[in-house]
Amino acid sequence: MTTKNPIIVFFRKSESRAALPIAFSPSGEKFDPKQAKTAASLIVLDDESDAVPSLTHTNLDRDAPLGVIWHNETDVKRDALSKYGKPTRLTGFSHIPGVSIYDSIKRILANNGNVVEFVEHWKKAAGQFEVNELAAWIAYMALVPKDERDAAAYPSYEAIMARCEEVLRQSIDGFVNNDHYLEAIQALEDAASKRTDTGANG
Amino acid sequence: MDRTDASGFSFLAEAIQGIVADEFGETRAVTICFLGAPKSARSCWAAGLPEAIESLWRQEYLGQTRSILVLGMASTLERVIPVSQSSKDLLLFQWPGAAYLPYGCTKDQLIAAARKAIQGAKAPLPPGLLPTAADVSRAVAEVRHWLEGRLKNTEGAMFSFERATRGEIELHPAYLDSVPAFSEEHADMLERLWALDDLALRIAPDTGGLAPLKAAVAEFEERWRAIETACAILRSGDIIRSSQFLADAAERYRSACEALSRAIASARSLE
Repeated sequence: MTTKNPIIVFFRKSESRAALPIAFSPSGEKFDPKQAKTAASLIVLDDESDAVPSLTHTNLDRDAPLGVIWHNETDVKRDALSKYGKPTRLTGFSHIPGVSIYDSIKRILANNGNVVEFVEHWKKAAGQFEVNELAAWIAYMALVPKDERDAAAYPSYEAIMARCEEVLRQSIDGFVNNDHYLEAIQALEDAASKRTDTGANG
Repeated sequence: MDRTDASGFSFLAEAIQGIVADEFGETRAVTICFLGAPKSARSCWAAGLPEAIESLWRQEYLGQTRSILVLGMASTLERVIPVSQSSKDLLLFQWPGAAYLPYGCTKDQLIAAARKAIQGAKAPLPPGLLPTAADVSRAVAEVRHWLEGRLKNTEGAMFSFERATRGEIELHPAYLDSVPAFSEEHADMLERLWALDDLALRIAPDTGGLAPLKAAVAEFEERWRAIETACAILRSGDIIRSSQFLADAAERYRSACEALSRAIASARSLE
């Protein structure tokens, strides 16, 4: 799966040396996500405010998942983020030293962390979630009569499929179009396990 | 079903619940768990085995244990279990109330598995699947951490109202927005903890188990309602600049902060 969107993290402004919000480019350079129009791989937002600022990153994809690492998940924040993609909870974390995400973000904000490594890890997790969601849509099609399938199923299935590699897409589509759902899942599982084996980035 | 959660998992969960209800005449006869799904605060399904096991604890506490259908991409359960990190995950499938199905299964396979699991759920949970003191401690820490965040935010609002009372700032209208005491996610988190009530009482009988924490949380909820009432009054008219009303709201925030502090202290004593 390939998603252009950055990873979003909510962190307490009061515990950050850097001014929040702050964005990191794919090469790990900092910039102001409210000002600079450039691609972002990671954006750290202030957890202590429900107001998500206007973000100007150029790699915005409203139809794709937006991986979010939450400290304090709220409906208000989730709704505000929805104009930048489909908010997808990657994980939550506690603001306690020793908690790995907390420590990682602290280091990243203090210029001692590896942004690229952090983003790669969570992009991969987001990709795995999306593979599972695709599997859920296929499973849904397997269980529900064709005439009862909700109009949302196919658009969602196709939107995720559009982000799949061409080879996988052809393979899965072939099975799904012939109602061979278990085989479609098998193809997905095989592809997912290969990605895990090779450590490929999602 | 909350249709705002339009994920494949929510559609699939609804479809499965519908099939089970049609076949067995029972709604909510099964808990559905999707391996590899992101956690969702809005859905009626569990996102992983630990979450599914927690739901079992809650159901057992309420005296309504349901079977569990676990769905995942792996073609067999054996391909799921080796990657499992927790022995409780293994024990879950030794309980006859739990069954694994790969995504893409047919309706007949689903019904057969559900029939077996619904029948099997009458068996008691294996002792090793039941919560331990460590589970209570973890659940308390989770709640305590949320309470600390809530205290910080509530104090922030209190200071703002105090400053507005003194005329130092003009209060942003957003402060008057209606905010529930607990979001759905946090209410769910509290429910998970309250389900461990009996065990917590056995662990800390002298302090009454979870009772002091429950009381302080209930007190916070009541005081938060008083804040909501004050904000509703402020919202209803042009009295946002009235220092008397602002001072009253600030006082209500202070009272809520005190309840939160008591809840945090109670939580700490249980960790």
